[in-house]
Amino acid sequence: MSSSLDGGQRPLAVSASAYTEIDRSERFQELKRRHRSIVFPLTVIFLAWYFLYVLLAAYAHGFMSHKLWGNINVGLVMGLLQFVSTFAIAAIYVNFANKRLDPLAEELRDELEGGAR
Amino acid sequence: MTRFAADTVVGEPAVNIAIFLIFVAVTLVIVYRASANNKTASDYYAAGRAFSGPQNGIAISGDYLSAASFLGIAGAIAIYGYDGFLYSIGFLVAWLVALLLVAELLRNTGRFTMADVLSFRMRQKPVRTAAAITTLAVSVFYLIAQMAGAGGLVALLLGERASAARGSPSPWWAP
Repeated sequence: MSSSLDGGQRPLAVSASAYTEIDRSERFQELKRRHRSIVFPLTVIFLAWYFLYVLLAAYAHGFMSHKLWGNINVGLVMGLLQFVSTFAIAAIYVNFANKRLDPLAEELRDELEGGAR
Repeated sequence: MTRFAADTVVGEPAVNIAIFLIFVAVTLVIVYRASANNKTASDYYAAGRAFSGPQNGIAISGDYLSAASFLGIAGAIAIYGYDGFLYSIGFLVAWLVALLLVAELLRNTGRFTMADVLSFRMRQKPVRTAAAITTLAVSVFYLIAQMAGAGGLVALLLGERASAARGSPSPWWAP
């Protein structure tokens, strides 16, 4: 991207019709589909997993305070698993974006802006 | 100097405040020198895109390891135990919202702030005004808690009684 890019003040380097054309193109729609295909399921999974944890902590005291070994109870383990799942989801997303999103997005942008960055 | 609670005084107040002022001065010099090179929005928000991915990652972690996330969470766990731990997980999981739902789309617009994105296809003035008001409203509530915490800390360094300097009985760890 050029260094003259300054917030919303930049005059459009590409005509508006070129944007609509890209928006209608098969590959751009494919890019949007791929992005949604990973983002929406992951969002549903992590929100469900997080709210399960918070609601259990609020309403299932008996279950959460059940001791697994020593002073380690279910609530502590589930909390630590939230850390694991967060890092796992971030890794999955980065991996997916590097392989399936970025190459296609790069290709489309080079075409639209004539390779000028 | 009157000391209300001698047992809470940490070190010598004069030395404490001198170290504090040195940090402030060094920070201001660095900020001044760095800002002299900022010519465009890209320089300002993304350091002229001169950073590699890992360098940017370290910069962003530095941003988030602020008083709120780092000192605040450590204090919350120290005082409230498991409840503080549960609270900290909210911070962590919330970053996934930014990563999955905001980051990629924001980057693809080539803009740097939410106001830039929102005003991209709409009338600039009303959108930017609304964004500014929202930002200020959030910042004020955030700042009040930050100031209460900072007041407690400075009071401790100056050797004054914390609650008197702060003027409120709110907990010192508030983000």
